[in-house]
Amino acid sequence: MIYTVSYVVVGAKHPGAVMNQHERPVVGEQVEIGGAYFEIIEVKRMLPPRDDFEFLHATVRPVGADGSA
Amino acid sequence: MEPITQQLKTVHLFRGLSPAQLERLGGITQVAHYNTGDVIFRQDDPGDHLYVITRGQVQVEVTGDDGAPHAAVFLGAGQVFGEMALLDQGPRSATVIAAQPGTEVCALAQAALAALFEQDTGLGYVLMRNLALDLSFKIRHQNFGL
Repeated sequence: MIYTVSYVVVGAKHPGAVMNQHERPVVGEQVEIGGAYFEIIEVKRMLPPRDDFEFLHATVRPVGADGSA
Repeated sequence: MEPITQQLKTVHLFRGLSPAQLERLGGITQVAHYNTGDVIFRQDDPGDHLYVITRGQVQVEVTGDDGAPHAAVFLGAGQVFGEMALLDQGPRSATVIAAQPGTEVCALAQAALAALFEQDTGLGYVLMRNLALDLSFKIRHQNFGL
């Protein structure tokens, strides 16, 4: 399965990202967007899957320099 | 490195194409590499290519009425950009800048794609259908961010 994920940032002025990945995003994991790191706090399906593609929405928040959210 | 057709298979834009159709697309694809900060194209440039990211990320930024650039979205592997100019032949609506070292994109020329669509209308239908869904997904992303 290929996951097309819309990452929307809360808690900071940031446009977020759209990207494909082979692993489903998981709450608590971190994702790099444009050189900055964000913690995933919510994942939900945005659209019905089509063939090998699943369309997800993930909400993320900035991670501090010390790794704290 | 994976053959280009293998990489294209993992891109939603090409979902539903046969191996032979992917081969034909691979034949008109040019691969380019960029480092962080490299400008791929600028807002208001003429647009004659569609791009698919196969590695890395790009930043899409729009210069508004205040004259300052504003980041609109980051796009990662498997995403398409430059599609609006392909559809409406207008100038580029945004500036696109590589956001990671080793960012790799596949460029497909509008003229070559149009010729391919004429030869194989089924391929043209599938690409346009998938392009519409990609644009819809990006609009939903923007709406979530509001």
